Amino acid sequence: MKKRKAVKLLYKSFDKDLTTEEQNYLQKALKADGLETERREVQNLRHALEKSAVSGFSPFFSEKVVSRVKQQGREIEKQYFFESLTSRFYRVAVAAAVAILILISFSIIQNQNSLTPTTAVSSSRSLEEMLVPAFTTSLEDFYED
Amino acid sequence: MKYNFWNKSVFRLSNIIKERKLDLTEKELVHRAQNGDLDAFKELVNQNESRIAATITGMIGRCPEAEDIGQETFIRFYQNINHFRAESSVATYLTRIAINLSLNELKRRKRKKLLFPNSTEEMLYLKDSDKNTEKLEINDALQKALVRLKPKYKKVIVLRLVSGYTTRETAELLSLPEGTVLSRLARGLKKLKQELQILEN
Repeated sequence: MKKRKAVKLLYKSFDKDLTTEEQNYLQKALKADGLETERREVQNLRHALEKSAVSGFSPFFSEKVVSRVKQQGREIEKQYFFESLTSRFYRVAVAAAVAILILISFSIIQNQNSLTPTTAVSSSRSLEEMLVPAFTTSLEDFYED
Repeated sequence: MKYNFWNKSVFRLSNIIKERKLDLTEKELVHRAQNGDLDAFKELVNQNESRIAATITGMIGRCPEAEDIGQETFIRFYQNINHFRAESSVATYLTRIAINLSLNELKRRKRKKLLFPNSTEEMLYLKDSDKNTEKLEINDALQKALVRLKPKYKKVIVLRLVSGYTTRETAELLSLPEGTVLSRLARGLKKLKQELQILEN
């Protein structure tokens, strides 16, 4: 009789129903190969493992979990607030930058439009005309009055 | 007179609500928790605490980290509660999270041991149903032997024998065929026996 097969059946017997053939084989092996001690040891070990399970964590475990959940909820809300604020600020900043660029470019264009005719006029004036003001008041004008 | 009647009816109503809450099925509790009812979530924690505690302490031993991992398990469940479709039970879902977190903890310990070979892990007893010193000694020896086992054997032994899942449930939890669970259980128990003998010597 193969002991290895018998041991395999022995361990299997704790978790699964054996066939009649397997049961007979195991019964014979338990008597012949001295597997009874092994069977008792495994049974005790399994029993000890089942009994070793803790019944729970420290007292008020569920309260601790719930308070952590609440705390995390608050942190998430805070994070969400700041994230939404930054995203909004980002949008406002981009809009402001675009507006400023438009204003600058608009003013540059305006300046260019206002400068172009004045230079044209000034170029057509002579140096004397530029030095002597177009409307001058002389002493004669005062005396005439 | 009127005041007394009002008080009594409010008291009766609150008792009815409390009783109904106790009678709520797991599905109803999950549904309520999904809608932000923290009392329902707390009830789910209470219902599953012992099984999760058994799984985690079986995997990593009775150490201070066990409770942290327990809390983390339930918090992760709450964070993903809207994705929970009740195809499996809450206990199965929670056990999967607990097993993964425990394996992460074991990996962390292994790394720590490699970096600091002389460091020792602090062990302490958590709430235990048995105050018998002899049984505590047996439990201590079992915990020490379990910690020495390879994770693949440990997972099967803990789920099947410590947490009390059936062979089929264990196979489902670990995504393994039932035959593999049985063979790992047999091999794991043999190794556990050897470890206990080494510890005894």
